[in-house]
Amino acid sequence: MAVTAAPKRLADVFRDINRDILATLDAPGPGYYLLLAFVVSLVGLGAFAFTYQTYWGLGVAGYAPPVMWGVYITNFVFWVGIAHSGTLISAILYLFRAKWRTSVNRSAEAMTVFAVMTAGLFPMIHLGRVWKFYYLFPYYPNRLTVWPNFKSPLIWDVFAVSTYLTVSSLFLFVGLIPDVASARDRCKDWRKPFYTVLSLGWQGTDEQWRHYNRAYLFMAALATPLVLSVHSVVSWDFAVSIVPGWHTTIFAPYFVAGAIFSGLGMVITILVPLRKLFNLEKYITVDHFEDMAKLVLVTSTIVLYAYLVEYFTAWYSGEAVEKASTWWRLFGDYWWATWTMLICNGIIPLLLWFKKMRRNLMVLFIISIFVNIGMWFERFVIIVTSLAHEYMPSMWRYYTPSWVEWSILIGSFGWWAMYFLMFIKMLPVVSIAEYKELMAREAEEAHA
Amino acid sequence: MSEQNIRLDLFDRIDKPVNKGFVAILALLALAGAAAFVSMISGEDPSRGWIIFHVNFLVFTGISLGAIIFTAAAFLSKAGWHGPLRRFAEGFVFFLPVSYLFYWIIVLFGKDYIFPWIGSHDPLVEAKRGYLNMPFLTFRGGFGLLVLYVTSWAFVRTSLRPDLRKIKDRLTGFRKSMAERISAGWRGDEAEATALHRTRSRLAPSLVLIYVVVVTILSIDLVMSLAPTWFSTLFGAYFFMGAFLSGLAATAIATVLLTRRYGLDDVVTKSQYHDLGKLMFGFSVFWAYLFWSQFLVVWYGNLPLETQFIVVRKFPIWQNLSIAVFLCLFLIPFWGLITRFAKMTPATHMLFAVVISFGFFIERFDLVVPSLNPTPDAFPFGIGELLVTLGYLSIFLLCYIAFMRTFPIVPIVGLKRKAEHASGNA
Repeated sequence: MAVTAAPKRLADVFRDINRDILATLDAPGPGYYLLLAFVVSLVGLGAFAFTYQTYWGLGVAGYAPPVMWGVYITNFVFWVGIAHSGTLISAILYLFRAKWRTSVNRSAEAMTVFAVMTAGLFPMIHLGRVWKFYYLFPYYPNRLTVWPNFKSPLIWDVFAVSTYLTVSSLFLFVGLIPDVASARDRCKDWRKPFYTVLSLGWQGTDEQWRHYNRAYLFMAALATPLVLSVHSVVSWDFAVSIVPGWHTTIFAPYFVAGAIFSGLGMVITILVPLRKLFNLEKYITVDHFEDMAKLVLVTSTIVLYAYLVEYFTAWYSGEAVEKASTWWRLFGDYWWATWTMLICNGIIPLLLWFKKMRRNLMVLFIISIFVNIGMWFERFVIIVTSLAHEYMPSMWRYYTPSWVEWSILIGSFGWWAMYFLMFIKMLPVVSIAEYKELMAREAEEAHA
Repeated sequence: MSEQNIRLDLFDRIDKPVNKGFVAILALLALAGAAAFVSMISGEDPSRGWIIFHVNFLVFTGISLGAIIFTAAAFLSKAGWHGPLRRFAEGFVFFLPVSYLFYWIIVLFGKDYIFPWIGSHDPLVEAKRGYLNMPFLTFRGGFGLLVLYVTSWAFVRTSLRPDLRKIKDRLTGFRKSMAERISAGWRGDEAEATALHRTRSRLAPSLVLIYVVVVTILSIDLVMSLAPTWFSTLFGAYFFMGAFLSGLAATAIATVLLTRRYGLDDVVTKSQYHDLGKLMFGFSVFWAYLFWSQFLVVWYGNLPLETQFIVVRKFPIWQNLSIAVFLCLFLIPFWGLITRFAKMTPATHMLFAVVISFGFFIERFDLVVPSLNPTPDAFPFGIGELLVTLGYLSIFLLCYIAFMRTFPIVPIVGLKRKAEHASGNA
């Protein structure tokens, strides 16, 4: 009896999964278009500011010696950081067989790709003469023997971020294949050719599944070191210099932990409303949020550990400049930024020690917003306060971002949200195939 | 948390007497080590005796703590597969009291040979006098280690409790009294299971946090300060992650040997070897990552205060040792453990675990000795050092055997019923 009942129930479950998740692709209501219009107008604001800057030159940004890296580089690091949750969830948690990743990996992966696309803009915006952007790629300058400097971490960055974009997009698209095939079979409108191409002729045969699972495992194994390396390389942009506040050995793992922390914060920020709007409560459960909250807590603890060790070592080193720089960071002109960072990243997440807080989505949502704010400020603090207060007292200076920089920051959020909004109506936000697999496995375990 | 799997049959299998000859050899070696240590510190160059004592303290304390932290981390991440291996890792807890004693021996009697900053008047050292002074160091280490060791024991105790409850009637003598003591105040199977899970859920994260804090402080006090003007922010994390890796390796060695001796192949299956092998592989790569993160920044910045640590370790007498460390902790296990076959075959699994453990020993040696004795005439590892090291190893093993004799070497209660995970992504 039980033996025959199980497959039947499973088939029902499968049908429900298809129905519920593919329902998110139905024609959107007016609220969606309103939201889309809003974020596109933010992009417009950013585009205007960027055009203005391109016309008048980089002088319209708040840059002035010695602070020649400001909000743009902050944004770059911030967005690359946001991009870390996707691959963490899809690759590392896959290798660790953490089942709960199934319900959130798709949206995290998509968000990752869009965040890298956003981050990639900032080195170009930061250039000023954006039409020279191709100098970033080593081929051209090397051919001209202009600047073949492979010892510069900025070049490592170009490699790291472009590799990351490639791999995370591949990961997203490979994961999508079976799901897109489901969407293809169900779709009757203009999106059908789009799904047909993306599904790469998927029929769901045993052979295809075998290759697919193999490919996914290998990609996960290869993407895992990549996740760690990308933000490590970004951290070395700073750490290999000898600027006090930048030159410290803990930067690589600390940046990686911070990146995962901010990425998870962003995933929670978008999933709480998304789940509500699309009625996905059955698929993205409170348990999943609790697991994410635990990871947020772990990474927050690592980040706090890094802050404390840095401050302690600055004192312990006995070096006057190192001490002065740290002191100024904490109690100098930028104290407000540093304390915002400390409170948002180190103190507020401590609430997550309580199970009640981890399971309260409203609380979690609010904490995740603080995490986003705190992590943006972390990058700001590292970049700006270190440069503004280097070795020579005659060169100390207070940097204030201009309206152009703020507009471009706002524009970048619009740009990223625009892609995400398009994504949720084009592609399934929860992995259908993986969810079914999970259901099947759970059913099997329940019977064994 | 419903009915639990109780494997009393396992207890019959593991209740074998210990090999007395082996214990006797270990005891002899321990005595020889103690004698060698005493003769070294009362000889003409006491510092060598103290230094090797110090190195071994770091090695075996690191291994014991690393293994226990592994059980806490596995519990926290709900890694069900580690159930059968749990006790093999927990066994190292018996070395901790000895380690605590050795800590006091070092800070009370060996301090003048170990800490070069005690008599130093370098302005950079004077600047950190508020931290680097003997009373404060003794206190923070003594107090921190005490808290850490007590928490470790409390955590292991929660794991032992249900097992001892089930088997205590079959025990005699010392084992029975221990079992009575640990399982005292039993509140009934159901209530106890819930309560134990609660306690473990609180102890495990506390234990990991205490470990991180205490070992970071220990790394600064007992290793970083040996080169008193050197500093590195990553050093603490590098130090405790290295200890974690060594704990995994020691657990692997114990797993292979004990599984074989007691015929536990049906409990510790290939998939356990596979998972433990993956963890060793992963954390060996992670060790290399931390090493590199630290090295690159120091090398690139090229500031004398920071490079001094690396420069000394590139002196001809140390260079090969430094390379060997990198080989044993990263390159050999990386290529060795990369295949599934190597992870799942007990012989190769153990081989690379031995390489990692050995690498861990020479790594701690390389962290300590060149700071204190940068340009020795000959490589400072003679028969005296060897004997002290073997003595330490013997004491460590004797503690482990004592644990395994007192308590069941595999969990009796609560093992998963079947070879639970059909390796998800094979």
